[in-house]
Amino acid sequence: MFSLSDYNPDYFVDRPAALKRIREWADAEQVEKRVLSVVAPPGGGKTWVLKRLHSEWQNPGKRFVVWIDVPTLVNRAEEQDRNRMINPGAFHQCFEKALAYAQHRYPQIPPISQNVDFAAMVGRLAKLLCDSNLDKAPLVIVDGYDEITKRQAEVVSLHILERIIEQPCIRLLIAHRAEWTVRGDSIRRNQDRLFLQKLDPLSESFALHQFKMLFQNKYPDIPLLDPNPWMKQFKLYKWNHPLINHFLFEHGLVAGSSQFRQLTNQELYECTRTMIERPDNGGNPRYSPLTIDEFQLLHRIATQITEEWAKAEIETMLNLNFHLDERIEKLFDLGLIVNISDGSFYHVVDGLRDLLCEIDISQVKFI
Amino acid sequence: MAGKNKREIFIKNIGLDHDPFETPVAEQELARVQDVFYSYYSPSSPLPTQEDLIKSLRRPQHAFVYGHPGDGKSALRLTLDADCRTILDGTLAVTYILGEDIERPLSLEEHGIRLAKTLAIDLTLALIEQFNPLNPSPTEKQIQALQRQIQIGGRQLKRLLRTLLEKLENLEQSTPDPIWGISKDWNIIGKAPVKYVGGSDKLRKLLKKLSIKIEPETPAGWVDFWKGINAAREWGFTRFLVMLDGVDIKQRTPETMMGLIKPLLDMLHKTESDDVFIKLFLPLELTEWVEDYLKSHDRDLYSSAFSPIIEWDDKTLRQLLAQRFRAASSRSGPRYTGLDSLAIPNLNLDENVIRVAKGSPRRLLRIISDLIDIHVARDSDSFRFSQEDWEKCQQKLIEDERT
Repeated sequence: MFSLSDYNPDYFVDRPAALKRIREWADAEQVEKRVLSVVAPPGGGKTWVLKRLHSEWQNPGKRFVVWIDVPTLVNRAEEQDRNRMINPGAFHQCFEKALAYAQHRYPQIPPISQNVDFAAMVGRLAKLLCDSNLDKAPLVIVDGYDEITKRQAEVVSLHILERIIEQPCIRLLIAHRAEWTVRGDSIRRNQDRLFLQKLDPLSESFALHQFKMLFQNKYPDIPLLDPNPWMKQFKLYKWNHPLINHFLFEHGLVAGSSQFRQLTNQELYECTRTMIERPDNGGNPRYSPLTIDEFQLLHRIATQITEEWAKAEIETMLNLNFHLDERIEKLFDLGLIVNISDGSFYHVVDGLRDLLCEIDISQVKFI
Repeated sequence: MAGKNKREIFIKNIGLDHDPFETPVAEQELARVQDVFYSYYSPSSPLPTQEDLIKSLRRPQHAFVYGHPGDGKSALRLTLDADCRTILDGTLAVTYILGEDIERPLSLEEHGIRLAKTLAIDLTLALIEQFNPLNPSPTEKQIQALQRQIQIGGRQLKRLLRTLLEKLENLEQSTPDPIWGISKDWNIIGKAPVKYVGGSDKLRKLLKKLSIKIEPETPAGWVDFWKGINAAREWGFTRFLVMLDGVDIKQRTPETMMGLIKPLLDMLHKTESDDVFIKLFLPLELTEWVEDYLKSHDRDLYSSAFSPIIEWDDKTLRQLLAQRFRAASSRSGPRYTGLDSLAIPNLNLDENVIRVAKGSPRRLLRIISDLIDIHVARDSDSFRFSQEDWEKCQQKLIEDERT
């Protein structure tokens, strides 16, 4: 079965334009906006880009950088009581790590007493950092922001993220899907957005590079195979989604041999599920899985409507209210349907639509 | 507004958690929806600069921001205030509204008395907002400086402090608001919360010290104002933005409006040398008057001041509309990006309302509000604006303009 542990960013990140642009933003003495959102659909490579930069910046002496994995800070099950949404244990653990790192790097930073007010603790550390006259702007990388509910995101923004950017020396790099608005007005006013797919559109050459890295890692002693003839079995899929590419290569390559095999409709269905249901950095499910009905609706949208559509088309064809239908809401929340540049057209996310079009749904046994 | 209840049901039915088109005037919106007011902000396309207006206005220079009524001057001023309160670079924002109580042009001294009071209120508020129990405790010198400011701030400020103190004394029993903390009570002084402000025993002790009664002194105008600036410096503020608005609240003749601000224009050199920068939000018809005055009285200031004009084009009005929907949307799922999402096909409602709004956000919001009223009066069960709704709305617009 497909394993995410094989999915090493060192092998698969190839986003030169995005990396260059983020490095320039991070290194610039002055920037117009101190919050940079890295925007891409689910599985589109946001975390990989950020992890790559994080490990690069973490190299001794480079710069002060802190990684916040938002879902680990939040009580995911708590969706109503805002006072209980931040997990105190997880917060203190994350804070202590950041403080220890700061004190190691800047010994003049004094201890900070553990207080029940998370905002006060974060604010204090942020201020001490900015008072330390750093040569480069400290960076805070925020991942998984779009994997929590909007209420949870509001609490995280107000108690933690706004306390970070209220200090003018700090910059915030935050990954999320296009549809996911970052909460907090001071963050929004200081926010710029970088669209990964626009800067580094993925193509077959990216997929070939990805295959080469995967193959050489897995079979270092076997001469590299040419996947081109096998890739041609997919008439519609454009090899533009790193996670889907990985799944297809992994399953298409016959284990222990140097051959490819044809993938079944069932496997392609599993590929879409893997993409949709992949776990978060802590190995926990990001979202509840799609029901059969929801999957079938998604498949119909992908296969029976034009690539980009206005909501009227879908309402006429499926006889539903686009803005109020709960299944549509779920597809949207999972980032599978997206709005094109805040206009009145929508599409199924890059890669997924083409893959869905490859699936003969009558041959699929739903699980 | 006809059929308020029907309108509320319509708003709820289309998946919004409040009505983002109910009041097109910034100050009224601030009072009505203080929790989301700042989420409404959407930048205009100011002239001559194309850069972020908030950022430009935070620079240490005097500024004259011009715009027609309803162009969003007050919304911009309130957002600038919020920005200074949430991005802490040592700037203190002071709001100075030339309110309805002003019957005649004020003397320089009268301006001083009013400015000293508003400075005292905004300084105290900023210090409470920025108070962190984990920072070193305030010094006696800082506390004494602030005690005098509380007296100058007057009854409203004292009432706010009393309310906060009561709350902090019962902190163990009460659960603070998880979004805004104790800043929920800012409405006592006509402000909206901009950030989470936690309560603490250290803050309680500070407020208790500030609440001691000291002998009232006769208001000393500019002397008090500069004392306030010194008190703010004592607490670490280094730059002061005085945001003046409301020049046209009472009378709109250029002569009267100029009469209101002239004493302050004569002060600009002095204030600048003390890092106090005045940001005047003025009606467009004052542009030439102010320019002529500065040219004849202070050419240096005329050439160095920042003088943007607020303008809106189709693109920025569309963004404003989308931002209103975004701010009001409670549910997840696809968002409304404009009225087209709520209209029958091919009605091109977004394009139509923006065309008749003629570059005015307030007019745009009024038209949409009328459209909703017309729609719910016709068929409150339908989620779709119709051709008939739009035609009636245009008719109302023509009638309103006639009267």
